[in-house]
Amino acid sequence: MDITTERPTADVAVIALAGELDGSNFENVIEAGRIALAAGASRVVIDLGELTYMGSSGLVAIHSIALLTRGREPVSPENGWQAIHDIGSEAADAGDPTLHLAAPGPSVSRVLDRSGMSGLFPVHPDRGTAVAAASG
Amino acid sequence: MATIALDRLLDPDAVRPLVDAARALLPGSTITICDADGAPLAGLEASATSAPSARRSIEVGGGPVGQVEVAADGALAANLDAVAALLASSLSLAASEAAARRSVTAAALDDLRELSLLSKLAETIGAAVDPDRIAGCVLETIARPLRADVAIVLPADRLDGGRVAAALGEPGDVERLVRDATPLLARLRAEDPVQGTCVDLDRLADPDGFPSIVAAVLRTTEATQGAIVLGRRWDAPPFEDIDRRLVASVASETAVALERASLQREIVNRRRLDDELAIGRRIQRSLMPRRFPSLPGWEIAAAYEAAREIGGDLYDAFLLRDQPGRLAFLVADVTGKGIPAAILMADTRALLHAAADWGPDPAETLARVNRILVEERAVSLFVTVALGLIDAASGDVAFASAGHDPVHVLRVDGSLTALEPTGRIIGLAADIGAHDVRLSVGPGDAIVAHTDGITEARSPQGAFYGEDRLRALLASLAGRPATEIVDTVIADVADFRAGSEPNDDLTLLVVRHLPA
Repeated sequence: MDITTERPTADVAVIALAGELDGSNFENVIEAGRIALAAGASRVVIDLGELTYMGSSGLVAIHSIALLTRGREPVSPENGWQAIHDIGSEAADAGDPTLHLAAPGPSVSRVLDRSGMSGLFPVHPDRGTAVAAASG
Repeated sequence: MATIALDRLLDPDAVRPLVDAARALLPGSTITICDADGAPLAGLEASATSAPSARRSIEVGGGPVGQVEVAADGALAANLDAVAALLASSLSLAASEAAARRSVTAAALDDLRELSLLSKLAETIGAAVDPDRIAGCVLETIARPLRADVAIVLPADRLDGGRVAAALGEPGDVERLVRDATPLLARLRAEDPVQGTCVDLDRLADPDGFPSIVAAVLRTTEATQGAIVLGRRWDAPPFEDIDRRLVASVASETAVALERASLQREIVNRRRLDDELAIGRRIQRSLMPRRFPSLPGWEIAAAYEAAREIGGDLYDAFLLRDQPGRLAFLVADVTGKGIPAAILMADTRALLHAAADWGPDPAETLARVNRILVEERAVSLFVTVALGLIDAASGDVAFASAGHDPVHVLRVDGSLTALEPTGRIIGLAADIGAHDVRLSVGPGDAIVAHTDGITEARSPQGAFYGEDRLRALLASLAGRPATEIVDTVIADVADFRAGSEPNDDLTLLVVRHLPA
């Protein structure tokens, strides 16, 4: 899987993923999110357009970056347990979401829909729309 | 090549007979022999004369190392040139032979020095496992024999400076050497990306820098293991070829030692991970039912195949407590691996059992389990669960799914219904928002639940098995016994994989209403 990070505006970082996102590389995606936020971005758009496959590890990656955009630290499952319960209500309540998903293909959409993740984060048809929405 | 002093090549006792022979040819002549700087050889000084003279140089390897001067008066002066040439060539021959003997001796000494250094090195780093400790041992062994004022080893990921693995010398000197070595190492790696290489630098213009540095990138055939750099201050002579050669030998031995250490560490880590995965597997296995409960009019079959690396599948079928004739079946998939995933799975299973006993609605059961896991256990792992409650007598089924892959109902007539998720994956949010689906499973119908290990099984070419292929195969198995459905699907997935290792756990559970 390839990960490319761009910074279209001062606030927004776009993390574009290409290839297959699975248990072997999801931690790299979280790391890319960490770096983008450390560099000063406050919103993240994850561009899923070039992903040919996303396993359930992809959900962990997206969820972890969402926590990071809220200034919370996701703890690796290898290291311990961590509270995540309020992310759902936060995402539902917040009129100004900090994580946006863009351009998922059919197979990635299926994973997002089945897990219920597409109801928790805004999903946009393309990157441009996502960046515009994230720039708010 | 440096000029070798003539007096170190020619022993006066060996020279004197030649001089005497020359003097015999020219009785009364004055013969002087000087070194390259014009200083006469000890024991062969001659008194100054104003007589006519002839000069010839003494050469070794084409370079002058001294001079013969023959002076004589009168009739004999005609032979001056010939005698001087004869004597000079005799002395040149003697000096050349001495020089050759000397360089052989020097090379033998250098070899000896290298051997003793390497054997000492092998002795000190032989047992060390920690890379920084190996680096420290290397520096302690070689710094003094190589007369280095400062010595450092840089780890492989810090060749551009930053952290040293080991250092000898004053802290300020160490810092300066790291700074001076950085561009040198970059050049070394660019010039020769394959071989471990050394260079020494000429004296640098910067008086703060090290005038003489010898550096080597520590490389094996496998990888770069770091770099070793030695420096000498202004008041010491610069490094020479022999130092460069010694450092090259030391570098290759050090690189091998570091690689061995990193392999050992990898094996230890690997073993720890394997142990953890194995423990997780044992917990997981202990959660799987050894045999299914018997329920009149129904049959249950399942297959489970563990992947080596990841996977956290769980399946179960159990009779509900205090509710005769009611059976719960479930298939679940935990995101993650190892002990945390196994513990979450054990939790999930226990909670599902308890919650299913408590109420008739699978959606409510899943919601309760989610609340407990999210609010009290606070997991950062996710679980998909498909849960069905069967009334054995009527064939009525209540079903809910928290983000799990579609569960299929295979009718006896070959039609297929997919039960899609009715709520979010467990662990993602406080509320999974699930609802129940109610359906009737008649005699001959079968419920087929799987995990994504089936649909995401891959061919050697990388293609996914996919839901379409599963559905087509299931449709051809309408009315067949539960074990036959399970065996046929598992065999077809194995055919599709064509020998490649499963990359995720694979589970198939079939609950079938027996024909009347």
